[in-house]
Amino acid sequence: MDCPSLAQLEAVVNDEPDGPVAVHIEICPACRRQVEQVRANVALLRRLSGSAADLRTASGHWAADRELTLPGYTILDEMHRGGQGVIYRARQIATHRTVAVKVLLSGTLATSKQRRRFEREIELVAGLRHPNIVTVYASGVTEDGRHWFAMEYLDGDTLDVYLARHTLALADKLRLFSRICGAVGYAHQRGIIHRDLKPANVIVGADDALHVLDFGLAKPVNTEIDREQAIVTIHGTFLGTIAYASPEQTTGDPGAVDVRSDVYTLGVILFEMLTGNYPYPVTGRLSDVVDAITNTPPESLRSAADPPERFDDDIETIVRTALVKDPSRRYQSVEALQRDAEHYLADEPIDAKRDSGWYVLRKTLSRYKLQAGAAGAFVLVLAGFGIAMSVLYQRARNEAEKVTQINLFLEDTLGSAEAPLQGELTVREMLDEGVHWIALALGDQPDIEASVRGIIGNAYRNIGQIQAAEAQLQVSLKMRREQFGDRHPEVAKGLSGLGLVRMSQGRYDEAEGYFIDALAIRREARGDDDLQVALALNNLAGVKRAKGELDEARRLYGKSYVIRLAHRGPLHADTAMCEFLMGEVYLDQGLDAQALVMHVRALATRRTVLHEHHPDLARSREAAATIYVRLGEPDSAEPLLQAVLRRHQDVLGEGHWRTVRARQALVDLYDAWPRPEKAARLRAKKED
Amino acid sequence: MLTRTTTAMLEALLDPADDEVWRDFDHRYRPILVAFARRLGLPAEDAADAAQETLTRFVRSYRDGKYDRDRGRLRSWIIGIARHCVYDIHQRRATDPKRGMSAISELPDESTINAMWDEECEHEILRQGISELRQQTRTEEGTIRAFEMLAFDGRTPAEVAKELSISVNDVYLAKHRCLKRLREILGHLKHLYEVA
Repeated sequence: MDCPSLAQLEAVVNDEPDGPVAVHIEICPACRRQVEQVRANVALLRRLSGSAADLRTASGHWAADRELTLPGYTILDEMHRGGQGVIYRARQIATHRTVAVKVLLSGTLATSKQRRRFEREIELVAGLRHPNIVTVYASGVTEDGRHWFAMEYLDGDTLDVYLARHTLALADKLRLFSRICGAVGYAHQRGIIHRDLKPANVIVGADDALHVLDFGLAKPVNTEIDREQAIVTIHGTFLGTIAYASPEQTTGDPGAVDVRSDVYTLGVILFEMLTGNYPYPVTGRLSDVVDAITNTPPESLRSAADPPERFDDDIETIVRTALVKDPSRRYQSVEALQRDAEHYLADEPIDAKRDSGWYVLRKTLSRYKLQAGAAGAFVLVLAGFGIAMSVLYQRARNEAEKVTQINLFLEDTLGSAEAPLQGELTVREMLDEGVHWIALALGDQPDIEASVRGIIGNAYRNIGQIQAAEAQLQVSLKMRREQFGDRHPEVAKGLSGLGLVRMSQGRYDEAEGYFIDALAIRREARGDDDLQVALALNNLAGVKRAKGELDEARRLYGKSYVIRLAHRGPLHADTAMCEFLMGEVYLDQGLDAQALVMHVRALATRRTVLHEHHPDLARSREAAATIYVRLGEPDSAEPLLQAVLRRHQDVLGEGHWRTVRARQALVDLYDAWPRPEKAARLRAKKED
Repeated sequence: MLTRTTTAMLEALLDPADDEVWRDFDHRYRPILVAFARRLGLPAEDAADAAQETLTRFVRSYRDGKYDRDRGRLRSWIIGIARHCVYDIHQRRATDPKRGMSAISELPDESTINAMWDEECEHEILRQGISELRQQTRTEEGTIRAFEMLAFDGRTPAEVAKELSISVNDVYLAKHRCLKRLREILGHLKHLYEVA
């Protein structure tokens, strides 16, 4: 036979022997040599085909498709190349679905450690089912031994890009952040710490879809510690992205990393979302960055924001609490962090400030008018005091105007306060502490000291601590006289305070003297038609009433009423106060019809302008009910007394003497009406 | 086409006036260094930086006389420099907040790294070999076309024959001629890369 063709020789090399050809080769040395050449050529060809397209172009560019061919998928392009793996955009041929395929970078040469981690990642992520965590569709090992998995392909921007492209309000940013927390918290509940959270691992889609990616470095909580997994290895190689790392991640002790590490990282992310910057410098040498993470306190949002922006204390506190270096003093879970973000959005007190009593009270106070809840007058006293403290601490700015306003506010607050019996001691303690604090903190600011002593003195008087009140008010008055002279409105204020103390002591003549002086000073300073003058008139009227000079009392209240009507209008709490007081004097005088007119007017106004639990509203109801009872109209009195009882039960509790008294008033009404069943029912409840 | 063996090149490198030899050296190792850095997790841009940095450091220390041929092979010396450069860039990336990328978890162990390097060398030799093959067969356009269609496009000899209007036997001839030529070129290149 003739020497075989190259095609025939190839068949032999490829183990597809053709009998006659094989025989021929045995006897033909030229063909034997030729077979060896063909064998070498075929081997080389296999290598070429198994290699990449960059050989085809010989361009020297490292082509993406050299990395991967995956049965069932068409690889479209390389999306991301990270420390652990490469992510490709691919199309699943069967479903025409676009997916993201992640493949372990070093392929068949990967260390067993890398392989284990990669397998664990697939296992972990595949187990997570959450709308904000990327879904895994399939996983496997390529022909040449590389691990891969196909996951949801997410069309959108990474969080940092998204924020750069969209101008979001603080609340919108917080809502995004809360969703990120939700996803991470879900993973935590399943024992998975992310450990590599960062804006680049959060994808926000056009339809507002949000996904947390790359649980690539996740490890199950509480699994045995692999010493080799140390975050910073002996060689200093860092696992994770250092700008977002927690202090404990930089120590290299994997045992120190728990869910609170993710809390810290979320704090860094929130800081960046709000300010566009990092809480401390994170560029430069690794050792410097580690030092900053470990030791440098985070900047305030205020100072870090670029362009400058105002942040209130609550949001500062949330971020600061997430970024505490010591994990035990941080938010203890992502849920806690998320909860505070939600609290903030709802304008509720944040948990991070629960430690600080006055804060919670103040926050409660700020919602008090909107939400008549359990907040009582006790709260008002404490809250007011807390504000005084906080404001005065901030006095470095020396905003005199602000301090004045706060003082006015405090006077209003404390003026309407009633302290529940069981709370007195605590209020007293707070006030005592305040007195102590004044001496320490305000020694060099006599104007403020006088003002605060005045406020505290009035607060003492409100809780019945007359001696303590007098001590503070005397000091306050003396200081005011020294600073402003004898005829200054500040001095009038001090005189009024002391007058009220004398009233409480039953020393009416002395009280009258103080009030007359105060009124005179105010008239000198302001003329007759002035709200401060109206207040002084009320004080003087009060002492006249106490002394039994009822016509004079009513005349003075009337003058005050005219001033307040002119300045405040009919629908104002101060105007209503005058109506109420005139009604009380009429009652004292036995003029029930006139009294009813005044009390009904005061009640109508107070219903409009005060919240349902305000003590003055209860007082108006009690007064009106008393008159209705006297006039023989129990069906008008009943709802008023019921409302009073409800209010006292809600605010003061069952045991408070006012509650007891209100219940007794209602029982008396039913007895006299008579409504024996209702009386019996109420008595029975009382005995429960 | 490279002509100098690496050994000869190393000799020539000692002459600071010889610019040509540095260009050769660069040409020979830069593509390997880039691919190597990519294998170790760097994106294209950073891998190019790593290669540049490795070459620069190599030049500097070579001129300082730090390469002692008796103490180790050129390969392990370059790998050592390249590892450091890749690691430095990883570290910089990890600490560069704007990039926000993860650093690598750890560099693979030494034998893995050496194997990666060898694979990349081999791949580079292959790439240069094919480039050289194209140069040498410029004049035989049908031959190289037939070869590429078989080698890279996965076409059968019958398809190629039909498309190029030649006989199937001609296709086989073209294929084996090219492969034989390529083997020779590769053998030569390997010799050049090997350090005596």
